[in-house]
Amino acid sequence: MYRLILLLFCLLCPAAWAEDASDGSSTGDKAPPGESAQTLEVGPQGDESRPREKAKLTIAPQTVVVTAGFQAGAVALEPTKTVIDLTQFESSGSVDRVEDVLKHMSGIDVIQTTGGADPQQMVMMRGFDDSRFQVAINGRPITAPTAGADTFVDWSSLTTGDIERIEVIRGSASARYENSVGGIINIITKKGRREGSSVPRASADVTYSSFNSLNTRGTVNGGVGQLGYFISFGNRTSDGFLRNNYFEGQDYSGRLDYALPGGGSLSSSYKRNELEHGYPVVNDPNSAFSDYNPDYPIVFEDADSLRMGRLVSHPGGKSYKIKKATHLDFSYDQPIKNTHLSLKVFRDWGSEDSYSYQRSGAGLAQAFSGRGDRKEKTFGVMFDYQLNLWARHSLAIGYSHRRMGVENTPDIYRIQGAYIEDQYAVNNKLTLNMGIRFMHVREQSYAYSDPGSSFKYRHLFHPKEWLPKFTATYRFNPETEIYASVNRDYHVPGC
Amino acid sequence: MDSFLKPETSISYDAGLYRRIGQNLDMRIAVNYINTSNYYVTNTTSPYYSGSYAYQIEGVKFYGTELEFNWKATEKLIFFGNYSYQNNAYSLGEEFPYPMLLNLPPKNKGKLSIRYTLPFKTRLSSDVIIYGERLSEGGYTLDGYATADLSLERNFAGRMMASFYINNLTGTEYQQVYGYPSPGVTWGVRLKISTARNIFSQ
Repeated sequence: MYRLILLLFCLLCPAAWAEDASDGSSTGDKAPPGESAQTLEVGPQGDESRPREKAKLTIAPQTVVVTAGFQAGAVALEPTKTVIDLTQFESSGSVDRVEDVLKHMSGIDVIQTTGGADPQQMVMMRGFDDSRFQVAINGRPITAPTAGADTFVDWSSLTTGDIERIEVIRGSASARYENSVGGIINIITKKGRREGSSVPRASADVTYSSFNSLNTRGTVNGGVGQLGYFISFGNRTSDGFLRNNYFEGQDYSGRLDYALPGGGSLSSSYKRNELEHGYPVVNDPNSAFSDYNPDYPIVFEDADSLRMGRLVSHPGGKSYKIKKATHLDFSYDQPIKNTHLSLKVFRDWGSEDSYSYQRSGAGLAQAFSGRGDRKEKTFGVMFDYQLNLWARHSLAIGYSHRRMGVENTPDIYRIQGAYIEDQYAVNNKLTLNMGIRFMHVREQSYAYSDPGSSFKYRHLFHPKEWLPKFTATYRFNPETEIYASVNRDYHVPGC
Repeated sequence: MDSFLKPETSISYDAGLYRRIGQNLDMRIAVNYINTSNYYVTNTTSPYYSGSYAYQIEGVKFYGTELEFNWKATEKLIFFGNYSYQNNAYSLGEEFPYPMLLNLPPKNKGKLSIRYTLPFKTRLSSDVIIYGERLSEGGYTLDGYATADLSLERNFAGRMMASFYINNLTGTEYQQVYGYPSPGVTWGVRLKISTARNIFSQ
């Protein structure tokens, strides 16, 4: 599939090159320093679908307190946020997935058994595992507490080909987000380029690296009339450094944006990732079960098996997983006088079939998990209405609902949240951000036993929690700003 | 059946300072203290404990600090750096299994990035990341380590970019997860072409 698209790209190239040469709209320069940072949004939702200039004017511009740093290279600092512009971010290494960027950020730790695409890896933020901070795409959550595939976030599926920027927001100060005690990682995807010519732009990217690793990617980007489109496709393969630690995968993503009269927009996006990943197997000269091969590095018999503590795999049997993840989004945004309406509907689904050859009694046995137990489904809606009707207030109200489950255990979660948030500019220096979120969760977990007991049972939760948020920001001058924040948050328990 | 488990909630306190010095340097420093009640610990069968289990820790206190800076020293030289310290405190009866997730991240982490523009549309990049020691799932101590990456990229007429990079330049031996050695020196080559004049705009 990706080869076909690459071929199409090659066919498109001559026309597009000729068009761009006569276009003159692209100067070849990067965005001027500070320009990108100055247009960053005030609100924490980070919804790229809103026009940037509109978003900047959350409150009357003479009173708003926002200190956005200049942008040196790809990174812009703000008091509570770090924004990484992926169109300019060039690490001194491969940048294929979101974690390749996050490992450079403070307070974030990316834990990997290997350097390649690994669905089992973990990212921690402010000491919290990834069930306790929120990962969002264009402001909507993708963290899935069903953990149907032993992961709350499949980091291997978050490839960077369709990403414009990443916002790392510290703390749980926003009433708009649920389950964010560690913070929020908001991924903003690329939109089609509608201005100027209708001839599409295309790119191709190839990286070859150690262990026979090959990454290829192609993108097509353009617009026709009111419609903008962006398409990305990637492929990755590697033999891996450790024994049996190969991977092979593809990703496809696309986004359509249709501009409506009055500054509104209709958007739809699709992102799919497929990966076959070999578990690194035990290669221990002191183990009777490892069939030690000196051509590979030593992997201990008692090695960790990151995340869920499952037994490590051994050579001689099948040891790999096939992981698939899909995100589908529809959104509608419409400014209405001094207000802004946003509606999102989304679905996520994914599966994992996992084979491991592991210790069982005095020998080894083939183990399998997958099919209906590991097919996750999520459906959600989000509504947000922002009112900029007063000189010193910007009020947002909203509601969200998600349902999650796996095929063999449907309807595990129903998570509802409603919020109201007011950004109040007391004067030119002091801004108060006050909000409250009400969460109502109904969870019926997988079966767990109490420690020391073999009796397993499902836990039923139906908590209702009020989560107040308060942040005060004081700007001494355009260069110096301090803030203090006190917030309450609720952790949606993993299954 | 209702669960014996209570809702896990957190009260977090954050404070920070953002300061811009001149036109080319800005920095951010923040401290945080998070008091989590009824922290959930759930796990499936592992080499250390048999059987799936779930329990709660009555109180876990997370605290830390973050420092970041962004400095355009000259038109050609840009630095981005950060440091973070993160720790937690809790008490747990001996009858409970070890809460492995709480101690996996390192307490200390620092990073420095350098981007230097050379003649002939060439750029030199380097990233140095320092990790403090951490614990494994089984409670073993994994030593701290540092890695240095280096890359050289060349831009051709804004439409093609070629780069060569070396990761873990010093060949440091380390384990991020207990039992799995990380590779020594690795390398890669990259080629990107675009129909846009500014290859970064694609």
